Amino acid sequence: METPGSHCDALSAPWHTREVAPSFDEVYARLRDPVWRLCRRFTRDTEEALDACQEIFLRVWRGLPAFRGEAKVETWVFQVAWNHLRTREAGRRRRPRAVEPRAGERGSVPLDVRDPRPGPERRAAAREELHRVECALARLPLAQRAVVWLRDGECLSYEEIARVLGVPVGTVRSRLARARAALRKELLP
Amino acid sequence: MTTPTTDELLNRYLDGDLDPGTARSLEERLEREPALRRELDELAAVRRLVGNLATETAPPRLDHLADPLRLGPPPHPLRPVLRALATAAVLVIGAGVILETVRRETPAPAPPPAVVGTPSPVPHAAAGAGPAGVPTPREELLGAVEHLMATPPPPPPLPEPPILEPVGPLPVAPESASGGPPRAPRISGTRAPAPRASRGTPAGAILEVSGTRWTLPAAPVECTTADPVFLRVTVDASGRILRAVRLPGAPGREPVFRALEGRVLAGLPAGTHDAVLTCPAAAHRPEE
Repeated sequence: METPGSHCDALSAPWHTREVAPSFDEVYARLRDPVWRLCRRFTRDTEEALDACQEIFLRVWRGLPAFRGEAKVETWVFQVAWNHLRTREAGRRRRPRAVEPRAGERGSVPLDVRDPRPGPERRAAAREELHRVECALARLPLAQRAVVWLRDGECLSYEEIARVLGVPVGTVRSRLARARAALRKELLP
Repeated sequence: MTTPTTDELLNRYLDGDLDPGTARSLEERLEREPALRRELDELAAVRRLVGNLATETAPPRLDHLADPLRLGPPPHPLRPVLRALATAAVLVIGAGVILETVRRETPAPAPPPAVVGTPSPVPHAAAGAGPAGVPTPREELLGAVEHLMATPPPPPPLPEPPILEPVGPLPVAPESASGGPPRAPRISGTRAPAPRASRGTPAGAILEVSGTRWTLPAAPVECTTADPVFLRVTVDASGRILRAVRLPGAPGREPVFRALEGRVLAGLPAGTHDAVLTCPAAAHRPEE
C-alpha cells in the first residue's frame, strides 16, 4: 500500500551535524522562514508577526552561547518561538481585543504557490484555496494549531513536536488527530 | 495503555509513525473498508493543503530587524549570569535601604522575643535612648524584620475632643467681632503669663475667648511666635470650635489653626468670637 506523500518527504539531510553550536547567522539563515511562518500562524497581521519574530530571534541570539546541543537546533529554536508566542497569546487574551483580525491580513498567501499550471486564474484559485486553509487553521485551538502546523507545515517528528510543546508524544498524536479531523470537516465537506 | 482510535491510527500511518505489524494490519483493513480508505485520502489531502502554506517566506523587513543581531558581536556566555547577579545585587541593596528606612522611622519597636540561650544584652525598647541603649546590628535587623512581619495593630480609637474648662476671666475682654472689617482685638492689662514648660513635656498655651481664658494642654503646631496671636473662632452650640482663623495683621503665617478645630470650649455661646492665643516661650515652633 502506498501512502500519499507530502512536502516533508522531500526534505534533505539535517543541516547541522556539528557538535558545537552554530553561529547566529547560520541559525538565522536556516530558520528565518520557518520561524516567520510559525509567527504568522499565531499572530493576526504582518506587523505583529514581525514583532514576534524579532523578539524570538533576540532570545535565540541571547541563548545560543549556552546552547549545548541536547536537541536539534531547530527544535530548540521552535521551543523558544512557541514559548514566546504562547505567552504573547495568553497576554492578548487577557487584554480586551481592540481590533478584530483584518480579513485581508490573515490571508497572506505567498505569491509563489506550488501550482505548476500557469495562468492568472489558476494562481488566483490557488491563492483562494490557501486563504481558506489559513482561515481554517486560525480557527483551531492554539494547541491543535501548533501540533498540526509543526507536523504538516514544518515537518517535525512527533517526538520533536512533543519536545517543542513540552507535552507527551501521546498528546501530540491525539491533538494531531483532532486537528486534522477538524480541518478535514471544514476544508473537505 | 489506551488503545489508539482509528483516527489516530490513520494519522500515524500517514506520518509513518506505526510499527510494521500495526501498519500491515491497518493496510488490510484499508483494502477491506473503502470508507476507511477514503478517510485516509482526505487526511492526506488536508496534510498536503496545510503543507502548501509552508512555501511562505519571511519579508525582507525581518532581515533589517535582525541585522543588529547578525552583524553585532555575539553575547557573552556569562551574560545571563551577570544579569542575574546584578538583579540580585539591586534587590539586596533595595531591601537594605527599605529596612534601614523602616528602622529609622520606627520609634521604639517592641523588644524581640527571648532567644533561647542568647539573652539580648541590650533591651530593645531602650534602643536609642542613650549610649547604653545602642542596639547591635543584629538587634536592629531583628527589630526591622519584626516590624515588617508584624501585623499592623488596629488604629486606636479617635480620642474625644478635649472639653476645656475656663480657668478665669480675662483682664480685658477683646472687642466684639460683629460688624466692620476684622481687626485684631486690642489687648490691654496684664498678659496671661506663659506657663513654663518642663523639659520633655509639651508646653500648654492660653486661649482667650470673649473674656474667658482657656488652657490648652499642649501648644498647637501653629505656635510660631512668642507674641499673642489674634484669631477668630467659630463655635457651635456645644462650644466645639468649628473654625479658627488668624486675623489679618496678626503675626505668623498659618491662616487656619487646624489644631484648635474640634476642641470644645464649654459654656461658650455659639457664634464667632475673637480670640487671643498666647503660646508659651518653650513651645515656639519657629517658622522655616
